[in-house]
Amino acid sequence: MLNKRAHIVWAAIAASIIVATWQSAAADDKKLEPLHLRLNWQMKGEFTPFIVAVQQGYFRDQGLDVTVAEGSSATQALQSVASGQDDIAYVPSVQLIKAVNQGMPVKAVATVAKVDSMGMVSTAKVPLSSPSDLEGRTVEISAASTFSQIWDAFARKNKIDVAKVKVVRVAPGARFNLLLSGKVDILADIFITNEYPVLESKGQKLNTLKVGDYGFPLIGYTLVASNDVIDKKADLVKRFNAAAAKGFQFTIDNPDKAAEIAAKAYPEQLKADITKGQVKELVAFLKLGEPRQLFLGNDDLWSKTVKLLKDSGAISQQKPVSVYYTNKFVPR
Amino acid sequence: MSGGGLYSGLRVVAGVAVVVFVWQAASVLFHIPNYTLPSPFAIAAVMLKEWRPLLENSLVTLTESVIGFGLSIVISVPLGILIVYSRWAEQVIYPILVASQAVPKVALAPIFVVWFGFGLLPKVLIAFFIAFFPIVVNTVIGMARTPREMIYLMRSLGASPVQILLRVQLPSATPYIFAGVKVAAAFAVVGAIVGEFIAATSGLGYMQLVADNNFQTDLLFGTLVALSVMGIALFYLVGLVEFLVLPRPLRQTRVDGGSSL
Repeated sequence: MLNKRAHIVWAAIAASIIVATWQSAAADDKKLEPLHLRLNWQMKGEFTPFIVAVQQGYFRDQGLDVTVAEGSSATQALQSVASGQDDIAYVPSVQLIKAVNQGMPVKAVATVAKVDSMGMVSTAKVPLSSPSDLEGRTVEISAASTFSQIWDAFARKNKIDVAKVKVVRVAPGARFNLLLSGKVDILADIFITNEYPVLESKGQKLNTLKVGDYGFPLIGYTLVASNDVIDKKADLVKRFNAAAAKGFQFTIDNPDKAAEIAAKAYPEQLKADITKGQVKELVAFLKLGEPRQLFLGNDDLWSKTVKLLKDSGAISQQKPVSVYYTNKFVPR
Repeated sequence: MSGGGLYSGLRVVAGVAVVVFVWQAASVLFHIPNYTLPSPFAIAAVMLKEWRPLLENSLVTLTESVIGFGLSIVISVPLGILIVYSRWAEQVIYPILVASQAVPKVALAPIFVVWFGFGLLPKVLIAFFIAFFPIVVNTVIGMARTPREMIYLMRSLGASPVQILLRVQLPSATPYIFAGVKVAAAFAVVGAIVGEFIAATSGLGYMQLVADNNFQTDLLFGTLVALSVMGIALFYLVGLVEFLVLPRPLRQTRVDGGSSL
């Protein structure tokens, strides 16, 4: 009988230990705060730093359960953040500035790429050495693209006669086939960090042109949050930035390994060799421009971009820079 | 009947006016931002300002829709007749047609663009592919519903199969065919827009894409208004043709015995 009681007691102790550890493990998971990141495009190698931050547990270390969600355009990502459906958007500066001008209550909480990577590409037989090469050609500019936002201004600044350019709006997924089959001459809405490595991998020789070289050196990607989130969830944003910055630093220091991690996490969308090319271009662009520190912006950089957009007619207002961005959440 | 038509017309206008009034009041009272839901006044203002591009693009989409729609009528009615008359067609072609409807036209659009370029043709084809099915189905069903007694009567009078088809079956199927044609009219507009979303240089779908991504939500709604007007106009145009072409006993009737466009 003593044996039986001892057994019961030991069983009870073992059970409570199991339950206690289970509950504390569950409680640890419960401490993770959810956060939604909305990207501006379908998954591409350029988003590798965020995938790395998830896979390597940097967000988890900051107590965050981050959902990285694909998007279809920067405009929609910004609308989603402004309406509260998502917490943070990853969008180029051009659409952010337009959104703020429209009165959307959003702001950049990280200036990720000080120089954007907008570019144009054509197959070998279509010359592309200057903007005037667009005249007389069929040029594709997707309505969802960043370049679409500044096309009129770019044409004006570079004295392109738009009447001589046949602009075609194409759903992004249909672009490559149309270029490679010769149905369009030039894709004017690509990112050197994204579409260019994909096209390169198809083995064709390509001509490229950087939009930044022709009067539009603009800030590239930014992380954006709504003013509501900035006011009420400031700590969350700070921790998100800290973890994301770690993801970016890992990608800069280990580009190939980062590309592998990303391709493994999204095997259908990201092919390892193309992703490696995209990450290589991404790291090259991240190293450009001032200020050097990750995610840090400054008034000079931002006012240059806003002024450029205003002077070229891409936007009609120029607000004080503090409305467009903040350094409050940049990790030191 | 014309009095009834006018009365119901007024009721529609009154209904729309109430909706617009409530919408405008809500926009102002709740300070709804322009980029979430523009007020009717803002939409009207931008439509007035951009009337020319709206009109030009509307004409493009209308042309695509009407050609696709016309093509669908010209091909679908004979196809429907063939399916009723030919065992082979019924057993082989009809299932293929049904299966073809399961293919999302959004998936076909990029392929059509690679094959046919950016002009009218890919949009017309997509409009056709969406619009032809309701007409085929309704033609088949309508013809199958011909009262047997009428056919026996015609046969007893020595009528040939062609005469039976043209004088009895087809006329009695026309209410069904017109119903299918009305549905097809709306579908054809959808098809044209889907084509424009994938690749276009003009049209309301193209205008909508550009406005949406340029944060011009009021212009976006303006294109939606233009599209609705186009869809309604086509629908009632078909109704008018039905009214003019069909003798009264064959016009679409309501449950209460009255008739309507």
